[in-house]
Amino acid sequence: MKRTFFTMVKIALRNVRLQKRRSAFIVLILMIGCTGLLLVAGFFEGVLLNLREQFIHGVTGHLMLAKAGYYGHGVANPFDHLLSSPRSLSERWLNRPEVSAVIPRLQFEGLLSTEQKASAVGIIGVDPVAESRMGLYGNEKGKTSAMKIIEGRDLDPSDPNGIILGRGVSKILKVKISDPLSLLVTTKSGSIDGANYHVRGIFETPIREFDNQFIKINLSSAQTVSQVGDAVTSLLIMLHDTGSTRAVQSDLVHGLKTSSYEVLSWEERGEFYRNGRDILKQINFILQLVFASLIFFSILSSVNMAFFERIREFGTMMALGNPRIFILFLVTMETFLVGLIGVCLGLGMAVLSSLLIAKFGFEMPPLPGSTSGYEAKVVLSPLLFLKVAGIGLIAALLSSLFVSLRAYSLRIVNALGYV
Amino acid sequence: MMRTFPLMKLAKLAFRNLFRNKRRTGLLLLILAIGSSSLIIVGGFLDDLMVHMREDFIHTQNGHIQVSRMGFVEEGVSSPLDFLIDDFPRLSRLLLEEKHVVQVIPRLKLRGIASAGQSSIAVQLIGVQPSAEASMGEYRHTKKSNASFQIMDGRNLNQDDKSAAVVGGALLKNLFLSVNGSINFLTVRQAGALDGGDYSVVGSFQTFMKSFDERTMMIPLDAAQKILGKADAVNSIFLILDSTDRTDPVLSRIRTLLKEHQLTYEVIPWYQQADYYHQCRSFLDKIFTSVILLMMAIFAFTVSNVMTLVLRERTREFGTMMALGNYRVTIFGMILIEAVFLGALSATLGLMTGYLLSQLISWIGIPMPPPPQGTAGYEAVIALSWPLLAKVALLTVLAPIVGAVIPAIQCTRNSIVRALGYV
Repeated sequence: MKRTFFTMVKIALRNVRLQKRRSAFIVLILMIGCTGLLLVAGFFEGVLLNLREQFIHGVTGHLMLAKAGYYGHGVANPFDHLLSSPRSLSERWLNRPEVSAVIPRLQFEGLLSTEQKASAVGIIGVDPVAESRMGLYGNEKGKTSAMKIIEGRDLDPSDPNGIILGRGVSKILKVKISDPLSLLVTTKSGSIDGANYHVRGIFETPIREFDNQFIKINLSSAQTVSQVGDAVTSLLIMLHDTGSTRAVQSDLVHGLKTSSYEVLSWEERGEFYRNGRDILKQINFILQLVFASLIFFSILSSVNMAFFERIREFGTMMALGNPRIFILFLVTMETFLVGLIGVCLGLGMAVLSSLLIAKFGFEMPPLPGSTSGYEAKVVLSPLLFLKVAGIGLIAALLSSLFVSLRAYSLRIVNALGYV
Repeated sequence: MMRTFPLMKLAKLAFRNLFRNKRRTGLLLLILAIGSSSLIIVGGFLDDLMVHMREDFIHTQNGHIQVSRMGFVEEGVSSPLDFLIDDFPRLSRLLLEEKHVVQVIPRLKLRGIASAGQSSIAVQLIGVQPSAEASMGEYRHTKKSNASFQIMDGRNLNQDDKSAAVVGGALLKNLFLSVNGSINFLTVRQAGALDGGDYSVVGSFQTFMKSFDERTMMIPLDAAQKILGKADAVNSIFLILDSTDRTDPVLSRIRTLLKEHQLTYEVIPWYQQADYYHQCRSFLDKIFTSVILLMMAIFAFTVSNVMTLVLRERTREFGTMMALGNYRVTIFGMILIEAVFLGALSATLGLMTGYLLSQLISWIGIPMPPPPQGTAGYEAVIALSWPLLAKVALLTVLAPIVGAVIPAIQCTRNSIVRALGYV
């Protein structure tokens, strides 16, 4: 029995070599199909990866640590949700190798006014040095940011009275760079306090509502004016590797008393990202479906054509006493062998073309919600390889099964006389 | 004596050749038809995504055309009260007379402080006409698509509401309020006097932007006008047209109409407003063009390779023709004419299958998650357009012709003896 199996494989191999053109055709289709499938899937993978990282580095950070309830209710009552000693907190809990930066933020409400105009604004106290570390990721060129300075300069620790305004806010107040402004806030204790600042820069984000509402000032100035000491409302935690987010999060949740703190990951805070991701995934799925059926039908049609050309051959084999099951097996084996070659070539070609794409670069416009474009990459993973190889081989086997079943029911006399 | 075949005769020969080996022609036809119909399906699917995004944007945010006081769009955020349209009813009547204008939707925006109990937050208040808003959001691109403005809890405003409000879900949470609670809004009027009112919360809404939900509440237009003490005042008027394609002609007609009536208003089409939409669009555009280009490259590559394989098989036939005294040019011409016929046939076949398949798929519908700015999923269809069909048809006709050139040259360069003995 074992010997027959090897004999059959040998015959199948010889048949593949004998019918060079036919084999070449299937190899070609599978090769091109697999390459296409891999490139499309890898391209989407790259876009998704970039969307995620840009979102994390531009907006949410990997994790946000705050007092329990801040995310849900904090905007209205920031001073009820203060982290009172952020430095010791971060030294105690965030001094670990996975963490690359800890970014403190203090957010509250106030009234910003010039001599003529006033507007209620959201104030974000930031540490400019830490913020600039947030936008860096990997060893990619440049940094990503959801915020663009369109006039003047960004915040600087050496200029404690400088503030930057959203584009809309600057329009509302009709101010230009270096104009004076005064800020009134209700402090932690409930009294009203104020301070004078000057406009250092004007920023723009892709979300206009945000630009109409927010200003940024140095963290230390924000802490002084709201009289909260060195407290902050949240700490954004940046990690070296996005993959370790969940591990660090669960460590923190277990370590900290969860009833008084909350640790939220980028996934939990990113409604916007989730929408974008889901739609891209769905598009990718549809495209893969089309590619897979394209491969299947092409192979099916060519194997089917080949069947007619081989009817006499099958008839002869049966006339010589070979069992029908042998023919079924032979056809399947041949297609499988040819398919394997095609799939391997396809994977190789996909790797080559992805390298080529990486070398020449491929500029992408900024993602929605970001201000800087980036270079697209085709990201290939072993899992993707397996999936595509599976699709290709299954398509080949299915179509060969379809044909060999027809061969199974041939009548010898008719087959021998078929032209 | 004729040196070469006359063209008509050659064409006839080529046409017969196509039907001589039915299997070979069938295979090529199939490949071309499958390829072109899948190009049509993918192209139509991606086009539909774009159209959906556009319509969603227009019907939830901006309307097709926005009419407001000169300078409102640039300077309006600063002091919406300086840019009031005082005679909305008259203007509305005027605009509704215009052909293709289906809906006139007034909005009045105020900035102020919303408070409930201990907490207060700076918000924007939007005065809306409930009936008009409802029909604006009612747009359905496909059977099951949904507006990007969603009522999470309670109900939306309706026509009989006098002092009701719907509040962003996040804002409600921040104020520790729930539906049926009471919310107070305070704003500074033109003269500097404070004014406002109390409203009962009848519902909460959610949009795709948390920052919008955190700071927005909506009340009936009448109630908002009452705060200002100006019965007919609005900030801006959105026009909904019966078709997005008519935006430009209607835009210019409205501009002349307003000029005739000596009214100076800003008339702005949706595409000048849509920063976010443009960003999404250019991003998706790039992805889609790359995918389509890749598919086209694969298609062209496959076709040219199949042509090579098929023409190689016929080496002996070409050898025989040459041995009979036919010129190489004749054979070359015949191969190309065959390719033209093949291309035309498969383009017809491909367009037909593509059309039927996309009708079928559209009928079934492709479930999609919400677009980035939406809150609800919808069902995508395959949107077929003439440019898309023309592009695919052109490609399908050209691919076999271009693909045939190199193998045809190779075939006709063979020496006759070799070609005759080729197996």
